[in-house]
Amino acid sequence: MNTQQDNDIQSANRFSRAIGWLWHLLGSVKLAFILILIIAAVSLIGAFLIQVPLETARDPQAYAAWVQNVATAKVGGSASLLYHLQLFNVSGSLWFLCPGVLLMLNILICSLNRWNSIQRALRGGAVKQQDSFFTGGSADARKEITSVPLSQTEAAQLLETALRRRHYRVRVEADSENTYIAADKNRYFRLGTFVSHLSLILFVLAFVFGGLMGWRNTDFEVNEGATADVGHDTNLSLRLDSFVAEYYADGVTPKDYRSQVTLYDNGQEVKEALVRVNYPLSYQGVSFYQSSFGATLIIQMQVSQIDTSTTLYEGGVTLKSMGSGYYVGNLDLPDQNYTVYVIGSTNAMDPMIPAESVYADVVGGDGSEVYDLVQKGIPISINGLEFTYSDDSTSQYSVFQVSRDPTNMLIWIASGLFILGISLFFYFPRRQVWGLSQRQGEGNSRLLIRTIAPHNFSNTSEIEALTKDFGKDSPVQRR
Amino acid sequence: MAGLENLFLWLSLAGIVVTIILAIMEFLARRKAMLALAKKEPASPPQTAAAGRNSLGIAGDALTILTILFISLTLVFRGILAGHGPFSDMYEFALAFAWGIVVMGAIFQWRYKTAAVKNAGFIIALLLLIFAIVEHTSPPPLVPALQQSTLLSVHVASGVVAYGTLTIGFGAAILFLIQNRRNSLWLPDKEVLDKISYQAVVIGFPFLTLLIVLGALWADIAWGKYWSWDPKETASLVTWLLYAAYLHARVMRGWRGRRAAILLIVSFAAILLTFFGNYIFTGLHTYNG
Repeated sequence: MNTQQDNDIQSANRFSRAIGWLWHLLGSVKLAFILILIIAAVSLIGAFLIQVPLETARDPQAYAAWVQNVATAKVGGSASLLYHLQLFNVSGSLWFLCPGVLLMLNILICSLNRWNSIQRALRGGAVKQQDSFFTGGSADARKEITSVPLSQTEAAQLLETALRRRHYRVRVEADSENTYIAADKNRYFRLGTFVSHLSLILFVLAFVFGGLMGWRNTDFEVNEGATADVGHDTNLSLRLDSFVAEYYADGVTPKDYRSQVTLYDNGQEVKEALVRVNYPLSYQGVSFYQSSFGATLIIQMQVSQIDTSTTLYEGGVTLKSMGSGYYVGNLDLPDQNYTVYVIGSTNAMDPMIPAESVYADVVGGDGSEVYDLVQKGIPISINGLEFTYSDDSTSQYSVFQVSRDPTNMLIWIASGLFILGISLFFYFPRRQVWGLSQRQGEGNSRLLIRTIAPHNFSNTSEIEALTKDFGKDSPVQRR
Repeated sequence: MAGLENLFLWLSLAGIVVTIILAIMEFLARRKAMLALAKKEPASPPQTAAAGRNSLGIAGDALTILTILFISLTLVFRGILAGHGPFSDMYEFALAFAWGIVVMGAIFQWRYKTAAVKNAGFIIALLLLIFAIVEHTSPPPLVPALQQSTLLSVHVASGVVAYGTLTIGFGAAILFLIQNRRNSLWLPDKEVLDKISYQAVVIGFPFLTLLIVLGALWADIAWGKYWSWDPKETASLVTWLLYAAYLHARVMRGWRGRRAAILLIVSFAAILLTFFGNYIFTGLHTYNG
């Protein structure tokens, strides 16, 4: 063999060793352990530090503004540093995504690596075990019954019966001196660990593809009696037929709010439904969730300047309530350098702002601010302006979150599999029992039992139950 | 109903306090008996005095059962008063959490024939009950998102089982660390404590998983989004990850004893962070009370 070939083989060996080493590293539980701890630590930062709303994070300009206004107010000068470290958006940061991707890879490789041992478990291992196997292990995982007054075969059959009664799968091999028994149960539940780990990957895939293929509108507002187009990839439109909000006795805490809606596809009515919190409306993959609501109060108002007797404004002022108990709106009179904030109450019994009246807070160009109650039909002057409140009308609007998430079903399936896998694996651990019945002269035998129970659960009870069962059918002496 | 709820709330507190006092008295009595025996018969093995239960221990067991009854009745009367399952404010959560600890403590005592871990759990339950009494308010009105009684009940119930069991695991981990240094005759063997702490996680972890998964599915129904990275959600994820790390270390890497116990204590701190998170963080899980 020449040196060139030698070198080639050597480098090929080195290459395959490196691949093997990498494969081993990526599939190791130690790596999983470290990655889990890293993800936990990074998430912990996300729990404590203020996080940017996901919608804002997608828009670089909005994000920058958020850092400037919101984050700086919370954390001060370190906001810029934290922003560059991506710590305001932990779940989208490299600190989170890198270990996350590695962990998914780790789960995949680890699952592949474990496939052989699981298959072995499903088939069942060797029936014959060395004598030393039965005398090894911890004391509570083995049992020896000497001088069984039965032949080797009869004793083995008795153990087999006891095992089968306890729903074990039993396999037997025998020679002239020894009868070997290997039994196990719950072997299929070993697959639980596969199911739960792979459903984790399914979660992540569903989440990623849902984000890529779906869309979400968190602020779809429809006025009572009006129809609004959903847009995106649909020809849907939603009409809010009526809206009802009920409050608890405190007048502020909402008890229930519900929207009676009609859904149109291409102008054709396709569905009528009552949408409430916890009861969304779904149509062809698009879901409407009741998100919030509000009311609009429109006040017909005339505003005139007292010293010049000129009318500055005449018409409707729109006040909105977002369920806080108050209607809020403002009237800008830029030419006159006035800003008027108008506040009404949703509660007719409000002691501060009675029915058919609103507070007007008048801020003049010189910075002066005066407020007073404006009552319907009674002109009043505030900060140099005269207000006349002639009429009002209210209407409701409802806010929905509308989304299309094509992987929604997948998330539910993954959730089910995840719980199923974990429960099977932990609550129904695979149990294994081996038995050896040895001939000891004519009509006598010695019985050895050894168990392996996973998760460190007590072995004793299973062995005791087995020997008790065994003893029920045969007079045996135990030691 | 409010009167009965109050009565049983205070009885629950009394039950826990007296159980703890009885446990301390039992401990002192055994210690005295053992020292006396050692004086009289220096050759005899000290275990004989430590083994077996005395009348104080039996009284403690009876009180444990009474305490379970008292907390259960407090929850029942609260539920009747509120008109829904007692699962909607911090007072009710604390009460349910304490119930979970006491019940799981009793189960582990029965399973492992030692009251030590239950008693450790009782100290946490006592703190929770004191917290509950401080936070005690009349039932708050239920906002619409919480008016999904099936999901709410199962979500909170799995939390009660998970947190109760994992508190027992925490108690066992603490006792393990004490036992690791002192090897006291009055505490269970450290191998037993190690085993209890592990088994507690094996039982509690699937429920912890169920708690989070149900929470996410419910969020999907109520808010149209499984996961919003709300701080309380994130804290629960951290908790879950820590227990998952513990299980991986334990099952695959053979972690036993001290390192495992320390990891369990850190994980339990994450439970407390999640539980009390509404006071620390702001977010969707801000309840009245």
